[in-house]
Amino acid sequence: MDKIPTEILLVSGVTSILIITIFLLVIATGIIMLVLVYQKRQVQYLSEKEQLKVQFEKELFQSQIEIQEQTLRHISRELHDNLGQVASLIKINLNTLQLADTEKASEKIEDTKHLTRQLIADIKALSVSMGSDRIVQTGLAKAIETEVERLNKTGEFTATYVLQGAMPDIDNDKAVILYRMAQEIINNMIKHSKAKQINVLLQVSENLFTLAFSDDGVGFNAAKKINDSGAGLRNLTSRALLINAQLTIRSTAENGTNITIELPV
Amino acid sequence: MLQFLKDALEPLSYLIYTIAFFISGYRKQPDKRGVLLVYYIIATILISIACYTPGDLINRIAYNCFFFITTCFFSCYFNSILINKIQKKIITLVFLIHLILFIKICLVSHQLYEINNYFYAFTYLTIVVYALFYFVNVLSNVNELNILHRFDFWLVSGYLLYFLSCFFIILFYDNVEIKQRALVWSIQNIILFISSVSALSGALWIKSQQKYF
Repeated sequence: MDKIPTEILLVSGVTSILIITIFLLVIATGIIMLVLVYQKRQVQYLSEKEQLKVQFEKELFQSQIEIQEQTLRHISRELHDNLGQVASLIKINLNTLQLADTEKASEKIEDTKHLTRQLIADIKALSVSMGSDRIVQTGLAKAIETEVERLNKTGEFTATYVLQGAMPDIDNDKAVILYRMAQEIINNMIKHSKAKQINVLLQVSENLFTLAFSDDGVGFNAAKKINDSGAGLRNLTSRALLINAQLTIRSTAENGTNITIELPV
Repeated sequence: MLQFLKDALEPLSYLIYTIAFFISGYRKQPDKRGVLLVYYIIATILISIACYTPGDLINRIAYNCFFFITTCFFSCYFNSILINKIQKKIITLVFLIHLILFIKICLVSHQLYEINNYFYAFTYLTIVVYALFYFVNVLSNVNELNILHRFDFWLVSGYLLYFLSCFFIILFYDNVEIKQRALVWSIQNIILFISSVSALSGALWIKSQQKYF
């Protein structure tokens, strides 16, 4: 076998060193590019997260304002339509009280006592419905139940409220958003569904809190409505996104509407 | 041309690094950048002496000292920019190993007048590991600041580029035929020059961005 000249060996040695150098140069460049790309993506992710946080706080603030405004409207309506009326009745009773006729006077006093008790109870009920703090104080389930009771009081709807399971600990901010979503859904059902029956179900499973609403109204084309610029449904979708909840709307014309909000807990 | 690449490009690169440090505002972080500024001033002088003094003796002593002070200053710099305690401990340990090796070369083996390519390669490998530590740190502590606004990133990227790609050159330099050494050393100098230009570009770019914002 012929011997390979030393010069060729040395040249091939230099060539190998050069090839390895180029290879390592490419690897180093690759590492730097990888770090750059990864860091850029991480920065983008952090920025999106921060943006979402700001949006959440903005939405939460807006929801609290809306709840307060609605509560004030409700208080004003209650004062005018209910408390005012009861107080007027008390005043009339006392004005027309004839002490000479003991039997009638006693009847009117009893009636006035009953009206006063009713007035005190109504004032108490009204005082607990002050702003979004009430959700924190009484809890989300109670706040929704009150909404359902209010719906029944109108006499135009038959509303049912069912709570299955023990209420989980839901963050106050999320509870406010959920309550606002529930109000939005109930208001939409009142305004547009022409329903007679409205059902609200709160269901708690191991890892999931479900808030379900259904009515027997005229329904609507859900897919079309969501794609249209309907602010109500868009608000619902964005609020569900904010609290990482899953919003499902099932509705077809003339077949009523089913809306569920699923929140992992 | 080859003579220029072999002899002049190396001190020129260290000079460019020194300028980059002056531009980057070393006074703001004297514990980090001040250390490296001193290193680059010493490196420029030491490498100039090594390249322009006739004969091999001064050249080899200068390079042995240069590689040792490289580890000292880089350990100090990376120790100040890294946060992770384990990484800091590794840096201290590696520095101590270098110190022991250098003492062995000087006092026990009397190899200060020779090419100690394994010692040099160990220095290169050490700095590659330090650079990777830095990148791990960057990726695990992401903030919203663009990474290109950090001078340290430009600097460490240049180090990784140079010390990783030239690892085999330094490891087998002694085995290369004397005729070919100029070529191999020139290639190493070109990569060093590219990393120094990258550091200078980074310093200038950051400076220009600071003017606008």
